[in-house]
Parts: sequence; structure tokens; C-alpha cells
Amino acid sequence: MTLTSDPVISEPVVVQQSGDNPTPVWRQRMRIFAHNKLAVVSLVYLVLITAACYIVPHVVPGNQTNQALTFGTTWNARPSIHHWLGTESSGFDELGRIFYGGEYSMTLGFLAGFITIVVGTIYGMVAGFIGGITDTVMMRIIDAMLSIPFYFLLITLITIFGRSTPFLIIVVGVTGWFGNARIIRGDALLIRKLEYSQAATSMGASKWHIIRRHVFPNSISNIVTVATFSVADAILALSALGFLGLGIRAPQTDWGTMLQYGAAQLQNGYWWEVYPLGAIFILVIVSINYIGDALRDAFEVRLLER
Amino acid sequence: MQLGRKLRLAITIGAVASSLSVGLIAPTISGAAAPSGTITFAEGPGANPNYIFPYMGCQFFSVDNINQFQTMMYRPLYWFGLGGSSAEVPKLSAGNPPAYSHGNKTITVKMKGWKFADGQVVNAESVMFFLNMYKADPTAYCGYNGGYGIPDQVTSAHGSGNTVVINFKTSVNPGWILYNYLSEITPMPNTWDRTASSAHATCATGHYGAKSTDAACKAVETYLDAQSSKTSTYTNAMWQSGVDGPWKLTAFDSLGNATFHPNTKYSGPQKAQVSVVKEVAFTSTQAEENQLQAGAIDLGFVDPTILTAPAPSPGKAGPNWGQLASRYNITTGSLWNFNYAPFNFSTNDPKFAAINQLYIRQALQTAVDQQGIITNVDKGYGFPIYSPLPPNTPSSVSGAVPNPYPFSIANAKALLTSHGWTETGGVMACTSPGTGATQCGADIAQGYTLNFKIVWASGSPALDDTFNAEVANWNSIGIKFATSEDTFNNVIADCNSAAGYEICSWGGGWTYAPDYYPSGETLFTPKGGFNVGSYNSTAMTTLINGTTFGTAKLTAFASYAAKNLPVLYQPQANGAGEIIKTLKSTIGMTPNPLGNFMPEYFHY
Repeated sequence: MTLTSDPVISEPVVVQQSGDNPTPVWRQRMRIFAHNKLAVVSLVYLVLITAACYIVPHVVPGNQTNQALTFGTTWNARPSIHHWLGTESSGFDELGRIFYGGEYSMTLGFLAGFITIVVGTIYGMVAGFIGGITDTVMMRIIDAMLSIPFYFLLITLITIFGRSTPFLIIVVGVTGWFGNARIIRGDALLIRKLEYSQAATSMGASKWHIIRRHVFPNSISNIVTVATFSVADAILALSALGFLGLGIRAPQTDWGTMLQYGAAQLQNGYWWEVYPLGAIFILVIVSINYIGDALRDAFEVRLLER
Repeated sequence: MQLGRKLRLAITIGAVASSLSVGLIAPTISGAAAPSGTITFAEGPGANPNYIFPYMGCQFFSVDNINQFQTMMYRPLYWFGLGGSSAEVPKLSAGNPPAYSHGNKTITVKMKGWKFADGQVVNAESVMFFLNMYKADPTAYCGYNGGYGIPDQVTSAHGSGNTVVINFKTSVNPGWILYNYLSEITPMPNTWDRTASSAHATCATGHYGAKSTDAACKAVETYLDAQSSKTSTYTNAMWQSGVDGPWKLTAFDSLGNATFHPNTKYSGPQKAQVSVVKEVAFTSTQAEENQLQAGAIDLGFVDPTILTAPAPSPGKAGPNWGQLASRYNITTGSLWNFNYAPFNFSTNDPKFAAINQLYIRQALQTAVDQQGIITNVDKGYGFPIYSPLPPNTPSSVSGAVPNPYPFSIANAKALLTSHGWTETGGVMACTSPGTGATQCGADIAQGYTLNFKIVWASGSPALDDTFNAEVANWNSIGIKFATSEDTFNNVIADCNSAAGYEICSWGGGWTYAPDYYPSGETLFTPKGGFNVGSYNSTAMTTLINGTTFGTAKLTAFASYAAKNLPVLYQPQANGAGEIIKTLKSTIGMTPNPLGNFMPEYFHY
């Protein structure tokens, strides 16, 4: 998992006071985010690569999935003016397949990451806010699930239930939320004991009301941060499955599957089937992590003006 | 006809597994040095042995079960295939050549008197055990073809001492009955004649065809089938007491990893020269290639997609993969096989009405670019297949059969549009229902769409590329396919179930073994043992009968089969085998066309 437990040490951001018209919170957060230059560069890179993955395969003429059409091309061809990154082991244009596979990897990653954060947030908040025996039981379940090696669980489920695209998303989603639940549960545990929560309780507010109006808004910093890391984790997990031959089925592809086939061809000296994709892939994961760090700062209440 | 060059049947993974098995031409090594060394053999991806009892149904009737596992232990009555040849090998057969009498109505077989591992003589009783079981429960054996050969044409059979006499209703073609029926018989020991671990039966000793014998044999077959379904039993005393081949199984796991040691009591001519043979299971070609690079496999294979240079010509090996060239020799050959994917004609298939239409099958076949697949996917390691005849079928067996449906996307699409189909949203829909010449055909209603399902064996990038190319072409003519993959063994079972697919493929088609004569009764007659797609054509059956009951060449049958498309013909990928350079033979190494794995001919 890429999520680190150590807090990111950020320089305090000097926020200008603006007299009677205090700067809106969202703008302050953007300023804090913008102060992290690495995160800004990462965001630009992520937006560009994401846009390319979602747009290029649909607007640029080329063949990314029709295996029969590759019979007119040279397979494993070196980079050339016609194929900027060469062709891969099934004859498809490597650059086009990177974008095409990226669309799958990112879509699956975002959807699986979304599942992990939704499930983890709900589970963690319920456990942390209710507390007592419910919390104990729910956390022991988490402990039990975390004791099973993540990839072992993942591969077992994929082997049993198959590897259709929806199921890949669901499996990665439902096996990746345990850590998130622990973090959110910690927030809920803390917030329910704070004065405003106690006051709301004494005034007769329901648990659902307190969770919705107090616990959730005050956990948003961690939720957003965890969400970004969850997406990175999901992309990594799906790519690992692809690398193990359990990813998207051909002629569709994803980055992990491409790296699996590319790694086999690397031994033939076909470097273009691994290194460009490897670089793009690593930068995507690193970018998401930098963005997550910056978001944590941006949602940190202590860095906002009063 | 040169029956000596004709051959046999069994399912094979073809492209891969067949290239693994490298039988050598009988190099009898002089001297009696103790066996030493270990040969490690790579099984095909997902094609692990999973049935030990030689009397088996079609879901187990595969090269990995028969030619590369069972026959190492249990030798058939007549052995075929050695080295680069697929001909009968009398010296490796447990029986002497059959004698024909009474106008070819009677066959007499004299056994050589070999011995099983427990000391029992392989005699007439051992053969009658198989024949009695075949008579009692014929459909349990995949080689059974209703109305043909043994047991349906047999009136009586009896054995005494070392002599078996089989009487037929009518005269039989001596070559055909030897190559397609006597060849299937595996003598079985009386230690297998039981219905429980300690309950002995009378299947082996009973009178052929008697009710009491049939009842006993069915009970025995049920018991042995149950035992064979448990891989944990494979090394037990019962199974190993019946060994009369050169190898005994000493270890086996549920994944299909097997270890063999020499059978010191083997009566045949070629004794084992290495002390251990290991067969290693794999789920993908990549995993196997990793083991090859580590030098952990002595006899293996590579997926053609990994090769950097093509084969110079069909049946000839090109340069080896750079990662293996220093340690391994690459090899390839010609298989006694034709590659195909069954169509599902069964009424269980919701799209059977479409599959029943010849013009739709023609459209599917016309859209298969066999030469393109061989050139691009298989790197030249393959042959195009246009009929049920293997490549290089001798002219004495059949005349040439031209390709009736050359590759053409335009022609394929025209076949549909000229029969009342209109493409809507990328899928052909019937807009002219009826049975006229320009209409969709029987049982096809207005709006019926050509949405099909296909399943193929997983684990081979080349097979994936092959079917992805075909599916792409079919999509382009408006026939949409939902695709799925399963393991080799599971796909065979899937195909056999005749449900859930319009086309299925385990990847290797049919190797003619142990029915060596490619006459087609097993695949294309209504009661054929492996007619998994439920194909039924009176014209086809008539033509087959001409070659089995009569002496007609296969030309007319093969030509009709090429045109009528009982199956979808597929390019035959021969694969590229890898043999570690330290492995030796006195006469060189040639891949066996039948896929036989005969490690007793190897030494270091």
C-alpha cells in the first residue's frame, strides 16, 4: 500500500488576511495546494496523461483492438516515424496501446478506488462512532481480513469468480478498503468525543445527524487524502493482476498486462515494449501520491486563516 | 492404401503439447548400464494429466492423458508411432500381428506373453477384460462409434491362454479395424477386476456379451472410474500393479506434476536409460518459458510469439530463441492431426438454427485468415487446414482436397447479405425470414441476430492472438462473438457439454490416435464418440461408410467435409519444441506426429 502513516511535514503557508472579506475556504485550499509545486506539476501531468488516455484512442485514427488488422504490420517493430514507440508483441502500435491500456487502468483504478473509499469510510465511521462492542467486533473483522495477504486474497477471488472487467473492479474494491476503514474509524472515534458532538448529542441529535453534520465534514481531510492513495493502490493492484496474467483479456489490455508481455519481449531486446510504459506508469503513481500529500495540506484546518 | 502410414486419433493441444513429446526412432542402446539421470518434461499449459484409467470418456481423451501419461505405464495391444513416424511398431506391441480368416470375419490375436508389474502375464484374459467392458458399457469409452467396428460389429469374442479370437458380423477392412479399433485396446490386469478394494469381480473372466459379464463389467467400470477421478490413488498398488510399460508412476499431485521411475519388469525391447522422469504442470507458456531459461526443463516448448525469427518453411524449425539457443535445440515437425473448432449443432444451443445454415458456416470459415495467422501469429510454425485430413496425408490415402473457401471478408459478408441479413448496429439481423434461396433459413425469425459465444483454452498468447484475429474478422462481417477462456481440460469438458457456445476450441484439434485412420466416424457420424457438436449428415455418413465398411479412398469424404463444414477448420500450429542439448539419442531427435512421449529412448 502506498499510504504512509507518517504525516507529511509541510511548511506553514502564510495566508493573507483580507479585512472584512475573508478569503473563501476553497480559495485558501487552492492556494495551499498551489504552494506545493511538485503537486502542481503532478496534477498537470496526471490531467494530461488522463486526457490522452481517454481521448487519443477515440479521436486518433489507428487500430488498438482489431487483431486481424495487425497482419499488415510488422510485429515487435522498432520505433519509427510510423510507430513512434514501435509495435508490440501482438502487432499493435505501442504508443496507441499505452493510451488504450491507460484508459482501462485508470477507469478501473478510479472505480475500484472509489469503492474502497466509500466502503472504508462508511465502515470506519460506523465502527468509530458507535464504539463499544460493535466497534470491537468490526475492528477484529478488519484485523482478520488484514491478516490475509492482500494479493493472495485477490488472486484467489479472481481465480474462483473469473476476471470480467466489472468483477475485477469489485474484487479490488472490496479487498482494498480495510486500511481506509481503520483511518476513518480513528477520526470518528476522536470527533464523537469532541465538545460539539457531545453538545449535539445532549440536544437530542440523532447519530446519523451527528455523523452527517459533524463527523463526516471533519474527516474530509483524511477521506480525500486516503481516496487519492486508494486510487493509486487500486491502479497498482490491477496492474499487478495484469502482470500475473489475471488482468483484462485480450484484445483489450491494461498497463499491467502490457508490462507482462513486454517483460517477456525485453529479453529479445525490444525495450520499447517496457521502458516508455514503465516510465509513464511510475510517474502516474508518483503523481497521485504527491497530489494526495498536497490535498492533505489543503484540507488541514490548521493551515487555514481564521 | 498404405495402411502402414495411417493412423490414429485423440485430442491434442497440438500447437504446444505435441511439440513437447519427442519420440525417437528406436535407438536400442547396447550394454546394460544402470539408468541414471533425470528428464524433466513440460506439460502443455493447463493440459495436465487428470485420468489414469485407459478406459475413458471423451472429456479425458487427450494427448496429455493418453500419449504422455497412460501409455508410459499401460501399453496398448498395438503400438503406433516412434520418432518421426506414426506407423505401427510391432516390436513395441503387446500382441503379435493379427491374423485374419473366414473372409476377414475373424481376427485372431496371439499375445507375446509380456508381464504386468505384479507378475501376471499379459494374456488373452487381459484383452478380454477390455473387450468385455467395451461390450458392457461402450459409451463410457470415447473411441466408441455406434454401428462401427468394436463392439457393435462383433458377434462373439473369446480368449484362452495367449490367444484371442474375435468374430465379426460382416467382413471388415483389415487395415481399418487394426488402425481404428484393435489399436484402442489396452490389456488390463486382473487386479483391476474389482468393484471395491477387496471385492473381486468377473469382468475379465466372464463370457463375452453375457448379462452377468455385462453387469460385472459395469460395476467394475464404475469403481475404476471413481478411483481414476481421485488423483491421490494414482500411485497406489492397484494402479501400479497393472503397469506393463517401461515406467511406473511414483508420485503425482493434483496439479498434474508426475514422477516416474523405470519399471524393472518391463518386457518390451527398450528399457529405460534414465532413472527418473518428471512431468511438470504449467498454467501458461510464460511460466514454462521462465523454467526453460533457468534450465529446469529438458523437454519443453516456446510460444511462437516469443521467437524473433520465423520458420523457413512449414515443418522446419528456424533460429532458436536467443535466451535458449546456447542450451537448447529447437525442433518442430508435422503432426498427424487436423486443427478445428467444433460448431454447436445441438438443439441445446439457442443459436443452433443459425449454425445449421451452411451459408453462415461458410461465412465464418471464409473470414478465417489461416495464412495470415500462420505467418504472423505462429511465425511460420504451422499448416493451413481445409479438411479433416492431416497435412502431408499420403496420396494413397486421399487425393488432394482444395480449399473451398479462400479467405475473403467481402465474400463472407456477401454470403450473409445475400441470404436476407442486414447489418444493424454492427450486428447482422434477419430481415428476410423464410426458407427460400435468398432468405435466412429454417427456424430463423425476423430480427434474429448473429450474436454468438466462443470459448477457447487459456494460457497461450498465440492462441489468444489467433482467436482475437478471427473474432475481429467475424465482427467485421456482422457476426458478434462474446468470448471467454478456460483451462485446456475444462474447455474439452465445455465442448463435450454441447451447451454455452456456438464455437469452442481447446486449441489443438484432433490427433488421429488411437484411431489412426482419419476416416471420420468418430467425429462426424451421429453416434461418433467425439462428435461433440452433434453434427448429423446422411451424406457425410454414407461417404464415411464407404471408407470404413468398404475400401474407398478418403478423397470423397474429405472433400465433402471440407465443403459442408461440420467444424470450423483452423490453422494447425505445430509449435516449437525445445530439447536440452545434453540429452542424447543415437539416431537424432524427431518430434513424434502422434504426440507420443517415450522417455525410455533418451539418455545423457
